[in-house]
Amino acid sequence: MPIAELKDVKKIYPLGKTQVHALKGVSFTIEKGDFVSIAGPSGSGKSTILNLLGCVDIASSGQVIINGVETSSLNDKQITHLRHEVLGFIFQSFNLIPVLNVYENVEFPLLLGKIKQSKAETKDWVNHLIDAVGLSEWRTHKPNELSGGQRQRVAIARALATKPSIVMADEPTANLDSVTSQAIIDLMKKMNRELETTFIFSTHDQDIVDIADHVIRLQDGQIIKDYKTNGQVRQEPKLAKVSA
Amino acid sequence: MQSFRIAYRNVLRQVKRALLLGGAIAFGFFIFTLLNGFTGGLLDSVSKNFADLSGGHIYISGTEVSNLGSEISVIRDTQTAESALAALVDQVLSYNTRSSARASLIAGSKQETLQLEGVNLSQETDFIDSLHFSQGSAEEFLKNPIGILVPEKFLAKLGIEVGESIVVKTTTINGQQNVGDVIVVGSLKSQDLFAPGASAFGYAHIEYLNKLLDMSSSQYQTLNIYLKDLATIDLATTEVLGALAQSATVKPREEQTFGPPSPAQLGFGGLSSVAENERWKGTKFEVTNLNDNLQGIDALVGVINYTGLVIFLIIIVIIMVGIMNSYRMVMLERTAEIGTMRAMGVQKAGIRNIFIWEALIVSFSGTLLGLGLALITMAGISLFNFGIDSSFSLFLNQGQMQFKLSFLRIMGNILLICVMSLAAAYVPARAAARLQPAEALRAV
Repeated sequence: MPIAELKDVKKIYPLGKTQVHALKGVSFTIEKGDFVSIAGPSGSGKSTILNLLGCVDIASSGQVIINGVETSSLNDKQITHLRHEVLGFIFQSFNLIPVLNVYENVEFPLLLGKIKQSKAETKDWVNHLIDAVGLSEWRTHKPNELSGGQRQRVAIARALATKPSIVMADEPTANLDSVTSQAIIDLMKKMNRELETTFIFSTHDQDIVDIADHVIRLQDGQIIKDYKTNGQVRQEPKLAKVSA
Repeated sequence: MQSFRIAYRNVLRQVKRALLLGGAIAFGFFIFTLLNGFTGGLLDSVSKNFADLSGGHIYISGTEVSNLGSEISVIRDTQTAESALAALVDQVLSYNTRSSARASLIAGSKQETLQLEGVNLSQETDFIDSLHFSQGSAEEFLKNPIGILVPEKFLAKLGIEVGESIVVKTTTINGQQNVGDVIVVGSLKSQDLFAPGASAFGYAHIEYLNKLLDMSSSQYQTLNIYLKDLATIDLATTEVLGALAQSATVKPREEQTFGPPSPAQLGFGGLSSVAENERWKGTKFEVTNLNDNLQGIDALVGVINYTGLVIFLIIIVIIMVGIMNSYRMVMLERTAEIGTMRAMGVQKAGIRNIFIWEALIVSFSGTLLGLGLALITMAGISLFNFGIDSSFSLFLNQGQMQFKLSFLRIMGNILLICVMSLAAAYVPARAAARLQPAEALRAV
């Protein structure tokens, strides 16, 4: 069973008196443990797809299936619960909570749901994640005391805190220099392998795209290519007809 | 508790804004608490001062109809009057008997009028302590059966010294003019009521005043009762009246003209005659209490409290508008943060609670600060002695301003501020909670 699936998903944003067709009937599947890149130029619909997969937005039509659950059938409380249990997020602007330090930011998602582990276990796990992203020395620092790369490492650790099945990363390297970008992608890849967490990230950086196992290329709200990096094309793109 | 932790950190993150909001709340609470403390203390001070002047908390007075049909103020049936004390069982702290007269003090060609209270100082030990002598002492008064105590200003007006003999002129209970010799054994620091020129009190021994009033030494005009607990005063008054009604004629409470015996009852300005069909036999008892005397003060305190409440409410409304606007701004500033938290799995209620907690932390801290400042200010003011001869000595306790706060009232005011702050923060909090995560995240 695929861990995430989009079936003929369309997304239309109202923009004044006109409508913007951000997605024009997109379908694809993602398998558990994949390291997926959603690539394409600005405005191609990358962030929209991540928002739909991340259940922070609702499709205008079509089906979004996460972990076998059709998300349009869930109410706000259930969707929020699904996000907390199944999904992790990494943002382009890091989006750390400014009033919390590194440890507290990573710990934060763990304190939102029902407590499944002891305080000591929680502490060990959070410290393990912080060590894993190489921020052991920065545990008590606030986000404004960290560099961009360090902040994104915190965001990665935070995204993994609840041991989610899928981590969404919306242009995680867009605000970073090339060396740091490579390091962040390497870190994500490492976590993907160690924890068997599915990573889905959007990017328009060709160097980073090729690191993925599975690439979905978008243009103007449609998939133009969906392939594994071994060269096997998984799905032939179907270009939908869209009225203006 | 996550919401509380984030809210607490957010308050610290925006210290200046929190200080401004909290400061406004603190100021409002400071003013209102100060006014509450002032009026509470005022009522207590006035009650005590009035009780000292009147000789008690509950006053039993009696009137008779004379052979000529005039109403005269005297209690000859002292046994009935004192039997009423039994009705109060353990509620009585002490009791005393007094007579009163409007008297003129005459020294040579000079004459001054005051209210002369006939007191029995052996019964009124607390009253002795409340007297402030500028010359002489209570001991000298006790030793001299024709000694009187007068306000020091009267000595200057009459041009006499302590130890000198003067003439006192008054009217007996039957309306006859009478004079006697007295010796001024002490002068008292003035205890003006409200303003200079208002009633002044002098004190003589009740046996001597009774002679001047043409009463026997065992008779009196009022039997005054000090209660252990002032809270029971109205109930105790009703019980005394009920006890007297079993064996004597009483004036029902609803027909009473409140306050101490009227000048007419005391023989001031002539006696009033009683219509033939309204006359009674023996002593007709009337029972009044301190609350009856303090109705005017109660009204004044009510007006001050009401004014304070209006000011407080205006300040609260201003604060509410401030809180509402502040948190609307906060919501805009933190839109991306809200989106992030929603994406991570914070429910709508969690977002709303962060705002609610922030408002609660600021308002609660503000009220505590205001309360602290008010307590410090009250302590400071109460250290200052205005003197017992100041024109508002009636409102003071031994010359010092007294403040009294009710714990329940303070708690109620804190609760009110917090609830109003929560109400003000609720609208932006709800709006923040309703933000769609995707839209909120686009605000980065």
